[in-house]
Amino acid sequence: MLAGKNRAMLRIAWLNWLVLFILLLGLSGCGNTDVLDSGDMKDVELVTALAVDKPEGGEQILATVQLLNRDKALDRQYAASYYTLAAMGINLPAAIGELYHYGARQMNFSHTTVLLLGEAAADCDYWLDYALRSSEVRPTIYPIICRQQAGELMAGAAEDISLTYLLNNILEPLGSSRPGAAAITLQNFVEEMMQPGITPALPLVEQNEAGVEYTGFVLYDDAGHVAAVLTADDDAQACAGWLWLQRPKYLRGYTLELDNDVVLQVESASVQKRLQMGDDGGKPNLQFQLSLRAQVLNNPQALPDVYLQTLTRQRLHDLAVAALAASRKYNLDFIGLGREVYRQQPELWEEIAEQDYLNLLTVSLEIEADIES
Amino acid sequence: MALHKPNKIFFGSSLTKNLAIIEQYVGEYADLIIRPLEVNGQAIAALVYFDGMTDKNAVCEFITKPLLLHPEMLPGKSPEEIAAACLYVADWQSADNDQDFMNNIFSGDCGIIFAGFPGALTTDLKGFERRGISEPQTEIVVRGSREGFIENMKTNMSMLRRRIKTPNLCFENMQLGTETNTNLCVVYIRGLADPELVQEVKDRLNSVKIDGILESGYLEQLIEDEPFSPFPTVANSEKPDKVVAKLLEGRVGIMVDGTPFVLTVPTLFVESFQSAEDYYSRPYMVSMVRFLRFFSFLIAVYAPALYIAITGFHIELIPANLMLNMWQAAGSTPLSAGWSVFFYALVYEVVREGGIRLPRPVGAAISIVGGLVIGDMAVQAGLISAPVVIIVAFTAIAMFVVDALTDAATVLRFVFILLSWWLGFWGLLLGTMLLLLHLVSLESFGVAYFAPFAPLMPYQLRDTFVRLPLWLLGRRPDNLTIGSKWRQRQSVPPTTAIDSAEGE
Repeated sequence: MLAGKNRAMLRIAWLNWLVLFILLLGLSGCGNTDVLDSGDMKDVELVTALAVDKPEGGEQILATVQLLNRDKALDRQYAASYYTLAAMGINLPAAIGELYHYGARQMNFSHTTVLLLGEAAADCDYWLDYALRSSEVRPTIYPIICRQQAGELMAGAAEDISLTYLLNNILEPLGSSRPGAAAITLQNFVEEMMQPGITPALPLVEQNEAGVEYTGFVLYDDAGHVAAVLTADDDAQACAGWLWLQRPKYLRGYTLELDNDVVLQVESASVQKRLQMGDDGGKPNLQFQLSLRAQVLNNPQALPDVYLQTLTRQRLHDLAVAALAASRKYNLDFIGLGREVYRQQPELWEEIAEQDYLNLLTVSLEIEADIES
Repeated sequence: MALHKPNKIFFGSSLTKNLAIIEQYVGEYADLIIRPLEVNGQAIAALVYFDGMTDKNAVCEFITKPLLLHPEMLPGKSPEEIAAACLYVADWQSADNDQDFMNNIFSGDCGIIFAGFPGALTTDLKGFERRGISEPQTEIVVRGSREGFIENMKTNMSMLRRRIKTPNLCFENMQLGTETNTNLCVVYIRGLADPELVQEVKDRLNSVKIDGILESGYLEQLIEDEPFSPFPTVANSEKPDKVVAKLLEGRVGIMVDGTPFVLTVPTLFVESFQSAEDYYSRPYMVSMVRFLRFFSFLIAVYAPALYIAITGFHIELIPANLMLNMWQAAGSTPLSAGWSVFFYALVYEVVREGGIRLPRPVGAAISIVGGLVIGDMAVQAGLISAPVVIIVAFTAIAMFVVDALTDAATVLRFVFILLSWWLGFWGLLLGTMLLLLHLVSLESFGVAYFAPFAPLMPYQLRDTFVRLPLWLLGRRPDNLTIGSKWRQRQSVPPTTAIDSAEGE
């Protein structure tokens, strides 16, 4: 028999545990099972891609999901591994909600890699708020804009190769899991949107006879609307220049075509940016120092390395100039000149932020090319 | 059954009356032998012993024969004087009442009641069968002593005495159990064990009021600090060298007659991860094995729960390629991850329990059937997915790496399964916090159970996740002993010690 005092102590000890348990359960609302992303693996259907469209003449949003076929999931590069579901709604959350009714089981977006946006639905109004607030869409997803209706492109994938496979090959060159220069995650996009002095961009793709190809990029204004579309047809050099100046570290494995049918494969590339103040009130100068190491893939005329370096420098110079020209033409700072001024000279940025700083700044380019035959 | 003994009845001078007292005390026993010794038709004494428990040849040779051959030595002498002068026995104990006398007889001693004296003698002439010393089945080692304790306490005491040849080794005998009168003894090294700890152990033992002690497990549960905790705060061992090592650190041992398991207190959490063999081998492999033991314990507790949390709540954590395999496998089963793991873990526990209870050859077969065939058939029948079998089977193996915590790991595993089933990682985190709170709040005979982690004792960490070379483990645990701080020359590499000794 426990003595009365011991019994009381025991009771108090249990009470302490109980109170602690309840307090822990309530911490940060984590005990709310409604918000837990619950769904057993056997019950969920895995979504690999989400497409958003705004059909012409209507106010509604069409959401299409590409789901893995469980029986053929391991044959993942083939179209038979996937099937699609589509639903309309007054906005994206409503359309996604409709999809849940159509799906045989719960949809799980944990491994969704692509957010495909039709050109008409590319404005942030239609998708960004949902993408940021929804627990389903991860920050690592790749938003891509396509020239066709996104849902149609998703459903009409080639018979033997899936759309996701093609898109992933665009985003992750060489079939690796390494992001390529055209791969911009939702997180990158939002970060650029929040930063001063840079215009955020998303890659643009289209389906043609050769399959799905990267064809340019879409630029957004401060309000999240599409401000300009740079395509390979009209601004091919500007698109390439953007890749070299903005995302050089992702260029490993890319090919660079030069005159005389010379082809180089990039091993590494980097850009240093240095802001120099002009003498005696002159224009400030932003110097780009581009370093490149590449291997020669094709050199039919056996040109010497020194000459190849000259050709490379000339080529990269042309690309950068084209990108700068396009930036000034559209008055959209997709190269991020203003961001460099903001980072290196915040006081100067305060002065020029409201001005036409793209034309106010001078830009110089220094290229160092290391070519191995 | 009464927890209090009846009053003692003291012997008188009449042999007949004394024998009547004994007969009244024991009632009708088929195996109790009362052998009167008569000289010239007059009873001079009577021998009392149990058939099969006492060595009859020894009784005849060392007691009956000298008494009958030298009856002239009896008159006018006390039983002790007779024993000293006449009996060929090593030692004896006096008893002046029925209970003290019969307690020894129940233990296998032979009793002698002399005519004309209000007292009796008992002497140790035990003759019952006992198991020989063999290697303990629960603590098998590759390197180290193969001796294990047996059920006979005196033999066990001798094993300790042979290893600790010092007058400071103390054995204090006690008896517990109103009906079983089980012999037990408290063992410690004077000067190393804290006297307050020794007293605490004796107090707790004395406070035990129970009809019988059949195994040291009874005492373990009756004297431990936290009876509701899944963690054992009283350790046990079958190996004399292990118990000696603990005594040398200032711990106190409790030996119980009738069991080879010797208890030691205080007990620390980290003790469960240490093996006697760790100190007989070189430190590198031992340190790696220590890591494996901690890792295995975590696997045994967390692996199934982690699987449920990931597959039920956090699929995004699984790499895509692995996830596709698991997703495809899970799709063909009717049970969710929670039910699958819970079901198969239960099946495994049933198989394990069956394997232990069945005869050894059959038990081994049952384990194999349980582990391989049932799991394989369940996967083929589409009841559970292959990853579940892998997880539970691996957990089951990992559980036995840390043998002392097998019970705790089993209980905790099911608790964590339920928590993660309910709340995912949040449940695991919640359970882990509660587990840590519980561990740091535990005490074993006044010593923090989670030491040296909490409270942090940096020096003692040398013998936890890793085991440093012995010459770097010179200090005794501060929290266990009051004796000399250093057990060897202070932190000196062996070769340096020789050099300095030669220099001196």
